[in-house]
Amino acid sequence: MTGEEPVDDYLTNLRAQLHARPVDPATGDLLDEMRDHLLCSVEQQVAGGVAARPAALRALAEFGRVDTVAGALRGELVRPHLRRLSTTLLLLGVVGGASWVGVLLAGPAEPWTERTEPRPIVLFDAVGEFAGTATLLTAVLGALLIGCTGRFWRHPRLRACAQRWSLRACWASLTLGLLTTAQLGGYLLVRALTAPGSLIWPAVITTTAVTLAVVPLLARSVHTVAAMHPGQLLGSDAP
Amino acid sequence: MRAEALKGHLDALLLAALEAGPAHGFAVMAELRRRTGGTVDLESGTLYPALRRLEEAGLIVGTWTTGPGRRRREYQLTDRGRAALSNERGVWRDFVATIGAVLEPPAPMGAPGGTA
Repeated sequence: MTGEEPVDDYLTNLRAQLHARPVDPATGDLLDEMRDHLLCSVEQQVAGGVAARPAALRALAEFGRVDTVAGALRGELVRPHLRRLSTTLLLLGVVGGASWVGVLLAGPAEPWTERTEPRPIVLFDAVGEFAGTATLLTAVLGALLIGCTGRFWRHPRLRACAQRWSLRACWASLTLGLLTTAQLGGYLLVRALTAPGSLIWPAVITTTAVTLAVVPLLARSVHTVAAMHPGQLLGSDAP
Repeated sequence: MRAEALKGHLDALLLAALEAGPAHGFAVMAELRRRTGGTVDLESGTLYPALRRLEEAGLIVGTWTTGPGRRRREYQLTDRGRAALSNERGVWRDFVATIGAVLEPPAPMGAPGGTA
C-alpha cells in the first residue's frame, strides 16, 4: 500500500528529531503506536473511497508537524531515562561511597597524626567530605523530583518544573561525583606513595575494578539523556 | 476548538473517552471527535504525550494487542482513573454552575425564576 511510504518517512523523520538511539525500546514502542494510528486513519479514508497516498498525506496533516509532535514527546520520553540516571547515580553514590569508606576504614589506620598529615591529604579530606556529601544529596534530590512527576498530572507546569530541576540535580550530582572520584584517586595516590603498607591492596584493587565497571553503565545513561536535548528541556516550561 | 482552548481539560477528556471501555489511540481520537460533533480540532500527535502522562500517573493502563497485521496499544481506565474522572466531573460541574450563574443572561422580570 503506497499510503505506508509517507507514514514511514514521517516516522523516520520523527525518530531523528527525537535523537533516540535506534534500539531505545520506549521510542520504538511509541513510534509503533503512532504508526498504527496513522495507518488506521489511512485505512478509514481508503474505505471511504480516497486514494491511499492522499489519504496518508491527510492523516499526517491531522497528526501534526514533525517538530511539534517531537517537541511534545521529548519531555515524556526523556523521563524514564532521567529516572534511570538518577537511580544509577543514587545507587552508585550509596554503594560506591559505602564500599570505599569501608575499604579505607577496614585497613590499618592512616599512618600520620594531625600534625604530620601531608597537606594534599588535608585538602583531599576537606574536598572529599564536601563533594561526597553533596553528590549524595543532589542524587537524592534528583531521584525524588523525577519520582514525583506522576503525581503532578493535573499540573503540567509543576511537572515540567520537577523534571527540569531533577535534570539539573542529576548533572550537579554527576559533576560532584567526578570531583569526589578525582579526590579519592588523589588521596589513594598520595597514601600509596607515602605509606603503601597502610592500604589493603586486594580490597583497593577490587573496589577500583568494580567502580570502573560501573562507568560504562553510567556513561550510557548520561549519553541517552544528553542526546535528548536536555538544554531545550531546561529552557522550556512545559516539555 | 483548538488545542489551546482545551488546555487543562485534555486529560479529563481522554479519561472520559476511555470510560466506555478499552480503546487504542485512534479510537480515542475518533470518540472525542464523535462526542464533540467534530468541533475538537486537536493534532492527533499531541494525544500520545497525554496518554503517556496518564499512564505514568496510574490513571490508565496500556497493553499491547495485535491489530490488523501490526502491534496495537490499547488503554483502559484503572480504578484510580475512574475516581479521577469522577472528581474532574465534579470540578467541571461546579465550574460551569458558578461561571454560568454570572454569564447567563438573567431571566426577565416576571418570568418563572425571575424576580417579580
